[in-house]
Amino acid sequence: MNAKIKNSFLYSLDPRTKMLMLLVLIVIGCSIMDPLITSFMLLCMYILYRATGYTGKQVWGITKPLLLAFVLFFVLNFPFATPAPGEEVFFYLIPGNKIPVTLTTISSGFASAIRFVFFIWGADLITTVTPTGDIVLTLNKAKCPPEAAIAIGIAFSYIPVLKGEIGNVIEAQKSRGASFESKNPIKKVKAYIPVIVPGLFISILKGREIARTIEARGFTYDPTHRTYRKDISFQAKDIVVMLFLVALLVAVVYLKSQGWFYTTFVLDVLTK
Amino acid sequence: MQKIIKFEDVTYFYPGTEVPAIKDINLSLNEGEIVLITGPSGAGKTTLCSTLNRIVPEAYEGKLTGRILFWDEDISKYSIGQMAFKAGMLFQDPSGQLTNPTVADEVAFGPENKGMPVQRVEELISEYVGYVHMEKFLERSPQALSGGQQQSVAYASVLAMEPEVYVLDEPTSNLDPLGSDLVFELMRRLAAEKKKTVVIVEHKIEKIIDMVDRIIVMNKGSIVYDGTPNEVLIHYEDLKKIGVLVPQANQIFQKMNLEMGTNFTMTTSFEEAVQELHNYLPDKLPVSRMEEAGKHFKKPNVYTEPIVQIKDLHFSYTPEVEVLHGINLEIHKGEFLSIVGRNGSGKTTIVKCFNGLHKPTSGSVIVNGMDTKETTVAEMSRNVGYCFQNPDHQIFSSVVLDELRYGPQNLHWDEEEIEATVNEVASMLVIEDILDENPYNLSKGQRQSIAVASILCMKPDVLIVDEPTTGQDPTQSRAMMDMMAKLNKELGKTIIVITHDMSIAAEYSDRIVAMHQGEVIADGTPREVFAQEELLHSSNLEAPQITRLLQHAGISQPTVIDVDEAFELLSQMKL
Repeated sequence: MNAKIKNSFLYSLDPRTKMLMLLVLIVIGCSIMDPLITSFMLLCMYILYRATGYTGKQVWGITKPLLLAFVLFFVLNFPFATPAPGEEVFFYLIPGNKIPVTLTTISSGFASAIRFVFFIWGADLITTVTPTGDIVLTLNKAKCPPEAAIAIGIAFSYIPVLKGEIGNVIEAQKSRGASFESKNPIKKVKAYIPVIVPGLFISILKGREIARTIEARGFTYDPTHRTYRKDISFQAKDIVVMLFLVALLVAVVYLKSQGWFYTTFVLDVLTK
Repeated sequence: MQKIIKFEDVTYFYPGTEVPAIKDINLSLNEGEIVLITGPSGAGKTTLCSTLNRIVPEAYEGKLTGRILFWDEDISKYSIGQMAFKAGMLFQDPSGQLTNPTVADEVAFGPENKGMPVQRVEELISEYVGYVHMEKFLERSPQALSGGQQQSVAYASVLAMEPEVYVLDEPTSNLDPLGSDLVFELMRRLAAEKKKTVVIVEHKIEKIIDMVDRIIVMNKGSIVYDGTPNEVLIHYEDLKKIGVLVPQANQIFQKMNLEMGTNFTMTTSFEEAVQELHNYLPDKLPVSRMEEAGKHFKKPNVYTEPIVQIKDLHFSYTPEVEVLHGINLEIHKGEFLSIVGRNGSGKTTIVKCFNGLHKPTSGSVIVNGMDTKETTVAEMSRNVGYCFQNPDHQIFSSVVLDELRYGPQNLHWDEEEIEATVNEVASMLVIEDILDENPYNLSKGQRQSIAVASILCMKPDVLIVDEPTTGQDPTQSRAMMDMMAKLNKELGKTIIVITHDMSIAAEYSDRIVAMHQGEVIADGTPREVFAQEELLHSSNLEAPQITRLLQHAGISQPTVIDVDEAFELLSQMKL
């Protein structure tokens, strides 16, 4: 993580503020169906990324692997989206007047795909700017048992390690002629079995190793009376951000209950 | 000296086993003593050490009989958590024992678990992070450090618990020579400054022999030798039989004393051994006799037909940092090549360019006439087999036979050809008896053989083996390398081995390529490469101990690379 991110405003917030931020983003994301507003939310999230010290290239690096899922979210939405009554049907996806493509269904698919990227960006940004030690402290403040809090903290710390191990497994199987490029989903899942099995085996071995290590570092000495070198505390900026988040949440939930933010909301407002 | 630990008739069975991991152990460790425990893999060394902090039997259950006393108090009434602060333990794998987000958090973990006041925890961090010279990395993630640095952090985290006994279980087995030296240096300081009882489990005896007071050799769960280094090392022939290699300096002195009637004094210090040899050498070396003896030294095979051609190879993982800087190299058909170099020198990166896992940023790699830039990894796998360091990264089948069939199936061979190849390879590597076994029920050595076999089933001309000796005892290392030599000699495979073990590289290779910071710094026969002592030293590499012993004593020509050659040469001195 670069120094710019570590010195950013978002990084400096209390982890509880950041957790609330993630929760509010999820609720707002789930409430708003209009693709233009979700696009605006995505733009805001991009600005937040940049303000936190990410380069455009880094954001693209996070986004690129999501593109296939973006398309899938867009396409798979059509069977489930309902056109507005009397709406013009552009064409049907399946002959026999099945799965109509209309402005509403396109808008709905686009909003779903954008929302997916928005959620991933939000989760990525918040978890990146929250040190795992802070997660442990947050759980500790929430009266979570210390064994569970530390176990969760260790699990987060180990994600990059396991990612590296899985990378090795993929390379090892590629070296044996394996291909993971099949477009057939069943074949693709089958191709990944030689990755999943060693991945699980290594995870179990690592898990045992970690258990032995933390025991040898006195983890079970007296968990309820262990000390924590660091502490977390709210500052004025946390209070301001939390108030803003709560106000935003209340406003969105209220307006949603008043019928706002449906799929063609902005278009309807603009055309009326 | 007072006895701090006593084992009284201790025997332990892991759950579900009928053979004890350790049996009838009677042993006393004295306060302030530095004890080396060595022996082949499976001898019971780790089990013995794990009883000291009650990980055995508490974490594994199983059955433990006998008593272990700590200051005459039976430790069976204590939990692992309580014993952790009496017997602090450092494990093999550095990355596997670092569980916290920053170096400071890692060192604080033990003291925090003990409920120490925050101010004291901060003092301990400051003291012990400084002790291992990691002050600059306090807020860095331990997982982002090199292996040697990671082990230093793990070491500091054990020191911060301030136990009475330090148990160091093969702390350098997964490290490169530089990382190992870093850890050995810390162990020396601990021994000299802290005056604590230290128990070290280690295969690399020559690196630490000069600082230990006592050696305990274990085999098949029992203690077979226990005494001062000189008392134990005198049994070097018997030790070799059970897979314990004594330092080459001791081997040559012992051999000279027995066969030439010399009177070398056994010493555990390399400097003293150099002086001892220096005193033995005549003022005027018999140059012509030495040259004559040198003519009979092992001559590596010479091959000329290129199979891998590397031209001006540049490679970068990210545009900002180049890892390989314009490498030119030709590897010949039938050659046994070792690539040596410290971690991060580019060894693994370059071999991943051979099978197309990495595509050159610029320059080219041509294997059997195929440009890796224009060929998929799957297509390259017919020419270049790559065996990863850890067999568990590739094994996934529930039956060994399926594991061997996986590669050929990926290449769409017909059934008959797959069956014939699998049978041929299984017979060659003597694994026919385990073809129906579940690989996960086999030993690590057997899993490593299966990993090699599964690559061989794809009939590659070139076989790359990445650090096959890391974490292995000398017997296992040699078994693995013997298998490579067999494939080289009998099937004519071109073998490329990445290794940190210079003695192994010297013994088996036709040619050694030494890498440093993404460049080839030496390329030649083992004798030619090891003759360049200063160059190797500048890259944190070192020739086998026997080579250095003779070089430091004043014999640089001819360069010897093993104990037999040294004996042949030294026996010319007093004719």
